Amino acid sequence: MHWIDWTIVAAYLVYMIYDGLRLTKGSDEVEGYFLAHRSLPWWAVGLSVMATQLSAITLVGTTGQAYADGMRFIQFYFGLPLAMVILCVTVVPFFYRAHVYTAYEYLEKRFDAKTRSLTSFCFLISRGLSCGVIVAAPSVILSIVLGWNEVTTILVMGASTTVYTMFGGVQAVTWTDVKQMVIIVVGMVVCLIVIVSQFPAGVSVGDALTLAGATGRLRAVDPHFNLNETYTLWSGLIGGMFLALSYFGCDQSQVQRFLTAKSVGEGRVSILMSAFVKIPMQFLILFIGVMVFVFYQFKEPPLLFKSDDRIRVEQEAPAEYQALSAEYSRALSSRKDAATAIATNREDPLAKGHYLAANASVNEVRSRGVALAERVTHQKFSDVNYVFPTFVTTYMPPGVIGLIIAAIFAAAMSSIAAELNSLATATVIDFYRRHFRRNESDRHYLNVSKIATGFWGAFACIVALYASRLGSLIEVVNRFGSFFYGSLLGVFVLAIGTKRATGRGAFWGLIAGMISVAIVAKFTSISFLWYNLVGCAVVVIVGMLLSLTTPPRGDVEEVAQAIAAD
Amino acid sequence: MNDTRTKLEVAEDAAEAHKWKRVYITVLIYTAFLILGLWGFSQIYT
Repeated sequence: MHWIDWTIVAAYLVYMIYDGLRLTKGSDEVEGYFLAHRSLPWWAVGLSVMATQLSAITLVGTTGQAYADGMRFIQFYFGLPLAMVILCVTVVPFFYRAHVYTAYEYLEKRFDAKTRSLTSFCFLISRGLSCGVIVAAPSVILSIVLGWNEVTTILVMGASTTVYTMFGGVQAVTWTDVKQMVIIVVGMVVCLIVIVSQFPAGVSVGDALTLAGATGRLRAVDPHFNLNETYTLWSGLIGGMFLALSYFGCDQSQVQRFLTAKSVGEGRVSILMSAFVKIPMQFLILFIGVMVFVFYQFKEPPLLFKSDDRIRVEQEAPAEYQALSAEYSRALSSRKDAATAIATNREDPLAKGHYLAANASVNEVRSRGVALAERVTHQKFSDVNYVFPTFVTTYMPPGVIGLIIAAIFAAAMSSIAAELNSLATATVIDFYRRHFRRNESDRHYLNVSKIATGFWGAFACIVALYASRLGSLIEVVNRFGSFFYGSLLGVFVLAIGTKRATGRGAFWGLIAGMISVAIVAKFTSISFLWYNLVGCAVVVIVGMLLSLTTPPRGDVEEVAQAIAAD
Repeated sequence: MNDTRTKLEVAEDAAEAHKWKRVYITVLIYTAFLILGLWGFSQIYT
């Protein structure tokens, strides 16, 4: 990397740590540390909500996914705006007026302590694991760019974020999120402009769209209903809506964001910001991946993007690799000619036919390269997450590389920081203060909160060491969530939506919901996007049936009225 | 609790609820517009 890029990345890291630590003065009480005294403006909270959700996995994984598979992934977000509207009407005013630190704290007021503890425990396990995956993603990039091994990069990445989160609390998390979000957007826009400017002379954006469209990479909406297909219009609208309801409404890392807003109204506007911006933003990120695909129609991509495995294959099966590489080069050359012919005359149906045949040949040789890599490495091979960083470091000019690396850092750190802060909140409020030390001073809880943040930072780094060996990172994170969050959503539906549900029904309903999702995942091929709907439905049905066998709580109405009155 | 609220407070709450209702409808229309736009975009280049 050029010294300019090193300077940009170093300046970014130093400034973020300085900026986070600068904000420690607003975090000298537990309420300030976890909720910023409910004083933050809607736009800062809104940007923080988006930055928390937009992780480095989103940048690296989805650009790679768009390169390999096209823009179908965008359908995943179609249900998000609907979910945000539902949450604005129900959960946001409810939690805000309940004056709680965690979403799960309310469940004790409504049901009992064991339901609160179980839901909070599920959150800690699933979010703690996914936080590890989110730490692992930028380490993939850094291991390529900086030439470090992944262990070192995971430790550097996790430690810098843990330091400012530990001392600065939610104030540091939110205000660094705001700056990180700006860096991400600027980085992505500059990246897109540079890619398009590097197309060969005579290849316009229209030509690029024609080439991408010919291979189906611009097919963003699939209206067919198929439970086994992950990304369709219906899985996005319905499954995606349940996933967003679960994530934004029941996951402490998101609930804590809108609890820091100045008022209910500002909390609502902050999450509606995602409803407006998320789909266009995801379109931009996926579009970059598609443009990288078009770029590689005119420049030769490596047979295998994952460089360490490529070197291993070169060393252990040199003859086979060289023969495949030569064949790949010839196929790419034919495809380049066919792509140039399309750019010359877009309307020629014959040119499109030749191009598709040439593209199929490229894919066929590449699939043999993947099979060779699997045979040599004795494991499933996936290099989707390596496409974008390889492209950036190979073809971007000095300065832009540093900016994009900083943007990827920003995406990762914003998510990690928010999650560490929320993990510490649930640990201290739902467990330590509730079950172990009930009457300590505010200073004592503040110190324990900082220790808890440090603990979760260390935990995330340890998980990251293993998560980085998994396949497509984005799916891994979503799978973690899908096993738990639908069932958590079901518990909140019982709590807020019904008066008859009891603690016993909610507790055993939650367990039944999670077991059901595990069974569905194990024995059917239904897409993971539907797991949240399954989990939620099972919890509500089982929870209500069990509740009918136990006497109702007499003070449900009083609890609801007390919250509404506040 | 509700008995102590003045008519002005009730009217203000109704106006507030109406304002939010319009915001939510705007979000839904905007989302439908985005999905249709993406579908149209796919159709043009596929």
